[in-house]
Amino acid sequence: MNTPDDEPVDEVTSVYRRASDAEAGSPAFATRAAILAEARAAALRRTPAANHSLYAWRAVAGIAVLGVAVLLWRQTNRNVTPELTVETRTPPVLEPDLAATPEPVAEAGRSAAQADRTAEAPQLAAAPPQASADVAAVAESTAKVEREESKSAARERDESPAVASVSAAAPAESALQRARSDAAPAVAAGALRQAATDYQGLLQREFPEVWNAGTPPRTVWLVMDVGGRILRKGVLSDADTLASVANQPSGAWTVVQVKTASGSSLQLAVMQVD
Amino acid sequence: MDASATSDEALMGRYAAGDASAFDALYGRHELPLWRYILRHCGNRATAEELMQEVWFAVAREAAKFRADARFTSWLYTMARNRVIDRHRNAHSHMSLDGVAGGSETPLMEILADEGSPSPLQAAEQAEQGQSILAALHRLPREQREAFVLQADSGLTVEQIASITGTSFETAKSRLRYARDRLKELLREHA
Repeated sequence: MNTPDDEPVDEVTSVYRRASDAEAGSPAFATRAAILAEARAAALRRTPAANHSLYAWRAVAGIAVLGVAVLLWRQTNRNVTPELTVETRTPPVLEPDLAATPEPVAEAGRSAAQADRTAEAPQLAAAPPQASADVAAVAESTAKVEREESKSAARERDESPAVASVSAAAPAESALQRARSDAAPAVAAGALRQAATDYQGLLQREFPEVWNAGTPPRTVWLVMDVGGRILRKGVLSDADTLASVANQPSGAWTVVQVKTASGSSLQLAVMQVD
Repeated sequence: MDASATSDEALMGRYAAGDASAFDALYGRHELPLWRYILRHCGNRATAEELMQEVWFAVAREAAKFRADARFTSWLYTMARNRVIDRHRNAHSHMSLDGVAGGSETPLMEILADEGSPSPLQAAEQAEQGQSILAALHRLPREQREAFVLQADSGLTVEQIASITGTSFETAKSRLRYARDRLKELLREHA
């Protein structure tokens, strides 16, 4: 303990100390206990800084490791989880150039496999006749079979004055339905070119004057049976619509944009009936 | 380590490093002297208890701020003095010796008598002397009373008293001399 000044304790001081010792007493037990408890708590809080920071760093590292583990687990779960196949619905990519070398006219009874391949983008122009979009050819045989199953539905869609689109064609045309609902891109350009050429051949064969005309009409139409035999055909005037063609049986029109020998474009509407 | 042989500053350093037992040793050394100092300047026991707790809480919490080259007692009593002054300013209380004895309103004579005085007469005389000196202390000017109590109750040196009270060595010494002389005179008058 620190020593006081080296002075003899005089009588006053001794008397006072005696009186003070007796009179002042001591702090209450509760006060003493509170002080000592606070001192211990403060000492614990003042644990050596190195350990504290060490624990702090350990805690931070542990949290970081835990966070990485959670991220990896979530990533793993995400990869395992079967993903739904999202079918994007994109419009078919049409072959812009249909003026290819005409190939033999495709038979009406084309194979279903080819129909599937070309059915990816049979989105025929549903737009007004002045629509310029090129349309991929539709598998005729497959569409023909399925058209028989829902002729009434096709009739409703034919009410539209516009050129019937494949998407509005008979639901029976599974190839058309696949094209409408399938998000897959259009068939290969080669297939499109093949289909387009077939229609070109059809146009050349059935409408030779139109094929050779420098200024062809806007739309020509023909009705054929399942065997490919032409039942009726004609040229659609600007005032007429496909729906207004006389004595037309119920069915769906397949409208394609084809080019004539002169390179002019026109619409060829084809309907297959029983 | 023998705490009794360790200086206050060394104990404080150990406590600041996390040794709670060092605080216990410090508290044991300075509990009563500090208690008396606070009690003499508060006037009532309840306030003295509060201030006692405040001061030691501050010691515990600010141990890390204690400079190794400083005097622990000076630091301790400076904190106590500041709190006493603040309490006085806020409460406008005055020091009173009434009801201080033993915390139970027990007359000083009876306390001294219970302390095992040699004889009842001596006990009575001592009690009367004690009462007189305590009453005389109360009549001293505050600065002289403070200096006397710091020396008589807490055992501080003149240098420490000067540091705590913010005065020079000579001023502190003068106050002590005046306080002692006045108490002597009052005792003689009483006798």
